[in-house]
Parts: sequence; structure tokens; C-alpha cells
Amino acid sequence: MQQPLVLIGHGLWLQMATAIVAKHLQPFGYPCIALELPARVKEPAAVACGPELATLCQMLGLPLQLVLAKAQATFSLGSQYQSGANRWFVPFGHYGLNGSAVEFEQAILQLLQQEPDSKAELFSIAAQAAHQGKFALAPANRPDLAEALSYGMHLQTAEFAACLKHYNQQLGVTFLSSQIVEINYSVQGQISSLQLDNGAAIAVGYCLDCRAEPTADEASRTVQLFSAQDTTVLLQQPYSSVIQTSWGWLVRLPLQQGSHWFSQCTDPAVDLPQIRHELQQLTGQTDWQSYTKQQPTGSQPWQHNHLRFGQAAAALDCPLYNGLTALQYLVIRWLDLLPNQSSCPATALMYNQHWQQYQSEVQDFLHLHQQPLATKTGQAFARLGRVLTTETDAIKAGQWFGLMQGLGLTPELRSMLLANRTETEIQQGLRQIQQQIARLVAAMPSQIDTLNRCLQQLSH
Amino acid sequence: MIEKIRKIIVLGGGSAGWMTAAALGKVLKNQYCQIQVIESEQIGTVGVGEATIPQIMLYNELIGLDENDFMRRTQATFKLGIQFVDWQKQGSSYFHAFGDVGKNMEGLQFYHYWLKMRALGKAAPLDEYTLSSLACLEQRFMRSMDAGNSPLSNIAYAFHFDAGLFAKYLRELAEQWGVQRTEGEVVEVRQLDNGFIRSLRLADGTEHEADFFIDCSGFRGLLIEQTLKTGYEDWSHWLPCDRAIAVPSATTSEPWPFTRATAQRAGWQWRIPLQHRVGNGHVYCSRFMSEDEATAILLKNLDGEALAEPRPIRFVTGKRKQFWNKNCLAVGLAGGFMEPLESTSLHLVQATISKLFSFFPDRNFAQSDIDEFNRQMHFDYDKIRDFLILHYHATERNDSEFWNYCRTMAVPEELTQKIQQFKANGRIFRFNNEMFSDLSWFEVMLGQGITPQGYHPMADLFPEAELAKRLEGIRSVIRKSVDHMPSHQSFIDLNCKAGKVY
Repeated sequence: MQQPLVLIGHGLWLQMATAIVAKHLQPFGYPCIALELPARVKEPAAVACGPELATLCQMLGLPLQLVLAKAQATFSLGSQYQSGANRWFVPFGHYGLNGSAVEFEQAILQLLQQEPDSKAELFSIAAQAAHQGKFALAPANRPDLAEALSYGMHLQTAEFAACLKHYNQQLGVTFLSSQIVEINYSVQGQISSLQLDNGAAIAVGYCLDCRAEPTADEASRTVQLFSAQDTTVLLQQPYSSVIQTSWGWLVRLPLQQGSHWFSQCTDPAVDLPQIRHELQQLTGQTDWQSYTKQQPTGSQPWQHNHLRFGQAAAALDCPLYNGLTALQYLVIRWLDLLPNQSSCPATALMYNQHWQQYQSEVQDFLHLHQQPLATKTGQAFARLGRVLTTETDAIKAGQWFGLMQGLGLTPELRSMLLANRTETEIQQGLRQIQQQIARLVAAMPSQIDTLNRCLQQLSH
Repeated sequence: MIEKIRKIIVLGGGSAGWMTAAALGKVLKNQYCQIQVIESEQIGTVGVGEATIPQIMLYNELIGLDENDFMRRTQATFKLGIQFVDWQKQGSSYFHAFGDVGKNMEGLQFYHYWLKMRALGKAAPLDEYTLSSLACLEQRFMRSMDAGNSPLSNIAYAFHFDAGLFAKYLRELAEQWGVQRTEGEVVEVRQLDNGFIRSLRLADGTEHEADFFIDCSGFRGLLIEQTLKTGYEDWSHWLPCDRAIAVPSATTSEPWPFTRATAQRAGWQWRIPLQHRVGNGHVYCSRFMSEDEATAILLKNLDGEALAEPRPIRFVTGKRKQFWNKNCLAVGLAGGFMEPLESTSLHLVQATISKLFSFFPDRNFAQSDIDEFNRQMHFDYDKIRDFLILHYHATERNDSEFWNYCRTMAVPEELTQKIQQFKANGRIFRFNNEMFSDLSWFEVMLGQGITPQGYHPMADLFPEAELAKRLEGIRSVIRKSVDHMPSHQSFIDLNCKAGKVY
């Protein structure tokens, strides 16, 4: 019998981490205990998950239809950005129909320079489908399309958490709750047990800490959050909407019944009434909730047998990048390295180093939204039209490219690898792809039809 | 404002120089800018890199190489991996084979369940689950065929070739693509006030100007070091070998489809089979062995008669502090050298060329682009360095001062962590862009005698009987697949036999 894995926290993050861990480790005799603590900050009402969610559901054996039904979920092929009059789409999937096509994005950039009225999204099947309100799961015999049509989901947080809790209970996870928890350490610095408010102590093998709030001794910053619920149903929009504001960005996540708006401001000198006014103007919504939270600014998640996944993920959590994605990554990566016989400090060290890399790539992506040319990634794109190589899969290649070209970064230098192709050749090649994409999209069902079919399958 | 590069000079005409020139010629077709190679027949080439790794295919694809023609013209043979003899201890041997090892199952890497079953005494040696290893042992080879899920659908291979003939072949192609060749020795490098290189003056008095210079002048780094004083990071405390003696020998058998690297008392000896001869060399550390002794060991261990006088080569393992400095890019030995143990020299040439196309400059030479280029190159070199150090450091050999030094030397922190992690749990941690895969690390760590204490707990999810059945199934498929492969010699004879060299 192994020492128990104890997961602590609350809400969706706790349930998601528990589901992943319990599914993988309970069969090996690791008992899993989920200790539910009260939330210090309310969870947002809706979340946007990236393409990793579908893989995860498959891994968990959680039917997609069930998630759609329980969490009032909709599909997302990416994000529709708006900055003033400028609109562009940032897909999860790659551009073109062949993910490994050499210099395809370079060809698009070259075309955009020749034809400024053209748009990169003409060459993204995800963008074309999204604009037409269409969505389909790629057929099993078209793995190429599966990548180009990578999709995430918008979900109701509390309902998805409840769905996962039910799943976890079925897996045999023990649920406990406590108002507070006290951590007892051994002389070696390991967590030996957790003390609950009723005086009970739980022995700990590993403690997976999903709490997002920073502890008093950890660096953090104050963040102002805004949210509003909108009753407008947007089933014709299989995507998130992202709108630029004077302080940052405003995000809208459509669900099956209504949608949710979120924004965040990190400027301490922010003029709250002015923000509320602008939010009302942009959205037509008057009932805006606002609250502050302390956001951790970075951490070393693996320390002895204490895995502070919640804080690490929370350091990245914002309307433009959901911390749940980071949390999932942290848990899965840890499972991949999980020692079976001995604790290995080198493993923890490498894990933490890798996490720094992941964090830095996400932060780079977020900084691009504020000051594209202040980032190395933005500068390289503006010079060469290339996305710098990344060491993790935190942000998909299509997202980097889509965002930067949409932000108006135009490369100064042309691709040398296309130097021996004439402009006509390049244009003809691109037009062929565009036509193929248009044909494929024309044959796709609408998101509404796909959703209905999925929900009907469940009821049968 | 874009200020187009008008002319590029590639200095040096060895493998690196002509690989660079051919790629530039093919891609730019001499229409974008003028490309000139300056080389001197008076200055010999080192000729390292006769063995390659499968990434060479990317280069071949870039320049549209006809593989059979290239094989014939360079007296090439195929390569499915490297055999390491006597590295863990005298009498030991293992393969670092290209391509797949076994088959993963439901999210669990093959090597984890193989480790489990091996610990129980229920698994055969790793080679029996690895197509390339088994084909190496039986001297078989074929290219991939359309065979569904069979391992024959995915055969990873590289080449052994004569570096001199390779350079000559690429020169012909490059010249067809408009690259201009100038014979001459550089006697003076002229710089602009800002330190950028302006021109090269040759012994015949002619002066050659360009906007961009590619230094392929070898170890001396005529432009990157002697002119720009870029600096060199010396790694000889980690990779202590600093000499090599090379000699060709007569072929005595059908060519082996692998490179053999045999550890010696103060270094190691390579054997690279070509169609017309066998390339041999003894890489050693001069602190622990004299040139005479190294030569004697080399000659004593040849399979066939020596065909030339042994040729000494000196080097210092390490890398330039910047690969790209001002308007000069160092490619090949001018950029750094990590000895040929894993045949990475030509790969690094190709990686540099590939990055050059991604970061192709204009005459403004944006420093941010150069910095990022250098960052990526340092990453490549550092990761390969650690992999090479592993071979020397993870050994049980204690039969010489050299091996005692290597076994006990301090190694880079990241490598220490990797070894510890593997020892503890059989895990291999790597970043996306590391060149060597987890399988490569696994094969070498295991081959060097690092035995993991554990394996992934998921391997326990499957009953032993199921794992045993699975292993047996893989072994049987590999056996049948190898049986289907022709001999290496007959494949060459049928597809790419070279003419005789007299």
C-alpha cells in the first residue's frame, strides 16, 4: 500500500487535478484523497480550455458529450480578436492543410505584403469555419485535419467541476473537507501529515496543492478582475471574442445559454469608474462584478513532496490564458516523471526548470498583447516573420503566428527559402489551398448541428 | 529600410564550405545575391564528418539531392547506427541505433515496460526489439517501404561517405547553381571602421569585397577568430581528447551498415566503412598518450591493410563564444568542434545553414536577430556536448589514467541531473528542440551501464503475462522484418554501386 496522494484546494482546479491523478495512479494502489477547502476568491463563472482538454477527456474516458451537456459547453476553434477597426482570428490549429508544409506562413506573409487587403485567416480552416459558425470533429481518417481543426471548449466552471467531482467519486477518491489545514513537516522538509479543523491528521505521500492563492511569504501582485454575464446566446460563434480596451483586453466566452465577459487590470492606479464606463460601452452590459485578488508571480512548483501546482498555474491565470491549462500541464508532466521507488531531487529540479520555460513562453505570449515590439518574439517576427522556436507546447504555433500577424507585425525581410519561387507561383499555391479550405468548410455542419447531434447521442 | 545583401563570400571549401555554398546556390539561385567561394588547394581539409546522422536527409532534401547519385559519387554506404565497443568496460558492446526501439503502448514508452520485464529476467536484449540494431548485426539494409504498421515503413538511416568526394560533388552542384569559385589564399582581411569585414585580399593581389562572410576556414577561424577575436569556450576539461590520427585501410569484408567506435586506453577508434575503403581514426588525449603510441594502436587494430600514411589532426573541443559576429558567420569547425563520436559535425553544419535561412540578414545586421541565432546555436552545441560527455563519464573503466579522469570528472550540472534521474526512475527529461531523442539517451545510458532502479509505475498496470506476450510479439515482428531486408552490399549493388577507384 502506497502513502496517499492528497490533493488540496477547491473548485474546478481541485477536481481536475484529482481526476487526472486518480485515473492514472489509483490502479497502482495509490489511494487518492481530495481535501476541499473554502475558496478565498470566487472562481470565474466560465472557463476557456484549449485543445488539450479533448485529449484529456479521452485519457480520462470522459465522454465529450457528457462534458458538453453537464457544463453547458460550446466548442472553440480559437479567438476572434478586435482592436479598433482591426479584426483577426487566432486559431488553435495550424494554417494551411499540412502542418509541416515548409515556409507556408512565410508565403502568407509575402502575399499580405503584395495584397494588403488580403487576410491570413483565408488560409486557416479553423478561422473560416469559425466565421461561418461551423464546427465538426475531424474524421478519424484525416489526422491532418484534426490538427488544423484543433479545438478547445468554453465551459461553465461550477458545473464542469461538479461533473468531475462525480467522476472522481466514481473512481473511489475519498473526499474530505475542512475550513483550514495545517501542514506538518518532517525534519527533512517533507510534508508528513495534514491537520484538519476537526483535529484529524492525514498521512501524506505527496501533497498536490491546487490552491491558487499565494501564501503570505510569497511574491504576489494585486489584480483587479471584472466579469459580467450576458444572456445573448451565441451558438453561431465557435470561438472566444477578445477585444482591446484602454487598460488591456476584454474576453467573451459563449456558452450554450448566454455568455460571460471577463477582463483584468494590473495597473494599481486604475480608474475603476472609467473602466466600468468603458466596459458598459463596449458590451452594453451594466451589471459588472469587480473584485481584487492576489496573484502569485512565480514559483518552484515541486518542493520535496509538496507540489504547489495551484500557485504555479495561478501565476499565469488571466482572461487571455486560462490557468486550468497550466494546471493540467503541471499534473500530467509530473505524472510522466513520477518516481516509483525513491524521491529524486534531480527530477524535481529539472521539472521546475522546465516549468520556468513553460511559464516564460506563456508570459511572452501575454506580453505580446501589450507591447509586441518589447518582446524578443515580437521583434524577431517583425524582422523575419518567424516564430522563435519554443521548448514547450504552451502556446500552439498557429496561435503565435495568428496573434503576431494580427497585431500588425509585418516582417521587414522576406523568406530566402521562397526566393526561388515566383510571386505568381506562390499566389497560385496559396489560392489552391484557399479553395480547398473553402470546399471543406462548405461541407462542415454548423456548431449548432454538431452540438445537437452530440447531445442527442448522450440522451440515447 | 531593407538593404539587400549583395554578395556573400564563403571562405573555405571543405565539407562545411561547399555544403553552405550549395545550399545558398540552390536556394538563392545566384539571383538574389552573388555567392563566391574562396578556397585554396594549398590548405588541406580536415575531412571529418564522414559519418552522418539521419538529420542529413533534411539537407539533402533542401538541395534536392539524388540519393543514389550522391551515394555513387561519394563512395557512400548506409548507416543504421553506431556500435560502441569497450565503452562501459572492456568486453562490453552496445548499439546506439537510429529509429524506433520497440513499440510504445497506451501512453507508456517501450523502455519502461522492457525495464520492468528485464528486471524480472523476462526480456531479451534490447537489440532484439530494435530493427536497426539487428540489421546492423546481420549487415542488412533497405530503405523504408510502404508496409503499414510494420517497422519496415519507418527505417531511419544516414550515410558514411568520403568527405573529400562529398565536397567535390557539392562543388559541382554549387557551380551549376551559379556559385563562383576562386582559388587563392587569403593574406589579409580588411575591416571597416565599425569592425565589420570589408574584404579579403588574396596572395595573387586581388581583393574581394562582400556584405556577408561565412567562415568555413576550419579550426583556425581565420575570420571569426583571427580577425574578429570572437573568443573560444574551451571544453577540454569535459571532452579531453585533443588529437586524432586518421588512416584509410583496405576493405576486407562486405560493408557494415554502422560506424564502430571502440574505446581505447586514452580515447577511442572509429571504423567507417565506405564502398572503396574503410576510414579509420584514433581520437585520443595527448595528456595521456603519445602520438607514436596512438598511431601504433590505430594501425594494430585495422581490419585491413593501411592504404596511406597516418595523418595527425589536432583540435580543442569547444565552441566559439559567438557563432555569428558582426557580418561574419562561422560554420563547421570554425564555429566549434566536439569530436566525431556521435557524427554530429555535419549535422551542426546543416543546423547552422538551416538557421541562417531563418535569420537571413540584410546589410543592417540586426543585433537582435544575431543574438537569437547565437542563442539557438549555443543550445544545440550544449545539448550535444552533454550527450557526448555522457559516453566518457558513465563508464566502469578504471584501466587507465584517462578513464579514471573521465569517470571522476565533474560534468555539467544538467547532465548530472539527467543521469541521477535516469538512475533513480528510468526517466529521461528533455526539451522540445534537443537533437537527441529520449531513445538515444536511453540507449546510451543503458549501454554505458547506468541501471535504473525503477521504471514508470504505469508499467505495473499491465499484467506480466500481457507484457511478456507484447514483448514476444515485437521481437517476432522485428525478426521477420529483418529477415525481409536484403544484405547491405546487395542493396548497394542494386541501387548505388560506385565505380572503382584506382
